[in-house]
Amino acid sequence: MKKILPSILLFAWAMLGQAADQGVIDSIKKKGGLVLQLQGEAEQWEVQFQLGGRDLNDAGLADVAKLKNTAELNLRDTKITSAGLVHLKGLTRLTRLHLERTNIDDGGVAHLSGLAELEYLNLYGTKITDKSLEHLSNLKNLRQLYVWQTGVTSEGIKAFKKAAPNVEVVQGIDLSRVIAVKKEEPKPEDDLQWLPEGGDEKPPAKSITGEFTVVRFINKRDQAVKLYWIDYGGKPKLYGVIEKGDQRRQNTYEDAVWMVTDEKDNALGYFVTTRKFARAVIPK
Amino acid sequence: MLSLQHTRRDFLRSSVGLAGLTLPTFFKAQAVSARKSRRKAKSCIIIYTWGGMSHYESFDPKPEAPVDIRGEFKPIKTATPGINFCEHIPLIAKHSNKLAVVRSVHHNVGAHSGAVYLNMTGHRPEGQIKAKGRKNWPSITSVISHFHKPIAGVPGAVRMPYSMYDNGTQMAGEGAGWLGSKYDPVLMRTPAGEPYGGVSRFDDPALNLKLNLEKKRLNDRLTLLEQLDNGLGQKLGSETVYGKLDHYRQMAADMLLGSPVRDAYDLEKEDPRLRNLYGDHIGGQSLLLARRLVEAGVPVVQAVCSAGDLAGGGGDNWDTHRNHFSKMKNRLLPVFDRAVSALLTDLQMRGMLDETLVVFLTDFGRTPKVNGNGGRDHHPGVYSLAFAGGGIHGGQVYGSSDRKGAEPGSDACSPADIHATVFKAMGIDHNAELHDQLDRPYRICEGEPLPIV
Repeated sequence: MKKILPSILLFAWAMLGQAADQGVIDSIKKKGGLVLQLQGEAEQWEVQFQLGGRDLNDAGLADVAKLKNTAELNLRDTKITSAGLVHLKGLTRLTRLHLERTNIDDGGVAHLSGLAELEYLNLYGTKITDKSLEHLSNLKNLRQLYVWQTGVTSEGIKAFKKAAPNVEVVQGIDLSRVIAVKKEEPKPEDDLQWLPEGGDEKPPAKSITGEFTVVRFINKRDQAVKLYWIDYGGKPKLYGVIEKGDQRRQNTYEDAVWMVTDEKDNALGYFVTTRKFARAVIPK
Repeated sequence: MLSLQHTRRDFLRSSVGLAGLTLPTFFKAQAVSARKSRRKAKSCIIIYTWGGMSHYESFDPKPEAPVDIRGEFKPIKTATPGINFCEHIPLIAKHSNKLAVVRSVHHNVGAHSGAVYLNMTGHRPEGQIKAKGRKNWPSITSVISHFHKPIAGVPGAVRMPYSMYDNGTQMAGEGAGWLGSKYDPVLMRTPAGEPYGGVSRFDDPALNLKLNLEKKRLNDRLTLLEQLDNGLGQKLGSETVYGKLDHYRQMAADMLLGSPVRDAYDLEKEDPRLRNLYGDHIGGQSLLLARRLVEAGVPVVQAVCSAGDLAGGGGDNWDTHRNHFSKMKNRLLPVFDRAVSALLTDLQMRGMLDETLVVFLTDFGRTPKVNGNGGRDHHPGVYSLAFAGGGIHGGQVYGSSDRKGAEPGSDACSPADIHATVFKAMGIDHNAELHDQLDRPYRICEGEPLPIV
């Protein structure tokens, strides 16, 4: 009996704890938060606010922090500030913490220096600087730290890595150095022959396929025309309308048959593509 | 078998609460809880190279093979010593430390329809398979969504930017099959980027559910619901009617009426410089959208990286029976290289990569011999796939093809094994049973996970 008693007490304590937690969980859900139990863990919670709970502020965070067995907390895109992070001091079981894209700065990160279990800390898109790294150098379990789009510098990271060599610090890329691939607009090398409807030269009955190419259709008629691709089975497929005087750049393949009609679908003529980038002038 | 973990979890979730717990169970549960569980991926992005991507000109170059097999391209070194890729994916090569490449996948289904089905469902096609068929096995996207707790206004699975077609016939294997329409992935049209050349079917009926989220149409809820309804020919306009919307339309409505998913869909909200990183192409913008959807809570997103219809080998798809090398070099690999490398960079710097599993799937590989039209034909005998993120150990190659790239050289594996690997990374028991509409049980996967998770 003596051996069992402590167990019963533990059991009772667990019951009370569970009941207390339920109240906190309900209040988190009311704020739009999501509470998930982590698999295989007795009482470890994952709490998320980044989807439906972005209105969470510092006052609300005080309530959230009452769920002491929170192991993972996501506050991305919420309205919390540095001052609110003081409430996280008691969440000593936190292993993953998302604070990215919030208004926090170095003052807020100072409140995290006692979270000894922390393995993952996401701070990208915040106002932190190298000073924050100093607050984090004592976190022995920290392995992943995200500081893209912050004031953290390469020099700061270098110094931090000396104190905390096991941490992978992800600085990300400098977007101002991203070079947009300029589309190489091909210059037309050729003019496709216009095969008028009812003329001597007939187009093939259907398209076959070959190399990729581009055709620039130019409408010189006084009215709009419709542009059809004759598919591999010989059926016309509408691609668009070219207003009078307008042009249309069209991706296509060699040996494709294109039909031009008036707005009432009366065929006017045809073009058959070649391998070359070409102009296709629809005559007056 | 009921595991202790299940007992414990089920108990905590049940309404019975602690009163129903006996002391022995409590102690056992305590013992189990001390074990720390492995982290699992929260979400999954599937990149499908429709048509059958050549393993030679991507992840498994064969520089030692005779010239009529090795082709025109050279290998390049990657960031991982000893692993080489094709020279035309130089940006992806820099991410090799994140990638687990599998070079020994094989099957024996030589036609696109069966091969898509096999790679998307993990099961061999039996008898006549039809797109949208309710006797089909569910796609991997549907199965993953089934195992995720639904979030209001967030689809369980999304696929984009169109369905896969072969000469006008829609392929089976992208839907939920016998899991039922509730688990059909929502089809979205990527709203930006230069389209792949060739034929893509944006007139897919599933896209006509007015999921095109045009801003001007979102102004008020009633207009929107009318929009939703016009596609189905009913008059609508009150809350009660709204309540009668079937699951799919209700989901569409929830998404449109204001949720992180709607914001995610609006690519104009993204930094234009980051959009450039992915490339101004529907392939790149689809992967950007995939990241944004995952960020918004969608558990699984599938992006088809190719024109939608193979159209007899015409157009920008991976079914390169003719002009293989120029098509790969000029039209396909540049988009793939830029888009995929941007996705990996983006997920990494946002701290999302360790919880996001990225999976590359395709129909099959291409033949060792280059044919008379300068192309490579279908070759399910061996091909390459890859994984990244989500607890995958990067910087490794699993299995190999033989010297000619014709069949597995070591550690041969199947599409079912690939699926089992995905399930393991996602924390889903690959031996789990699911039930169809008539409550018949099916084991979800016949494969075994590869030792790369």
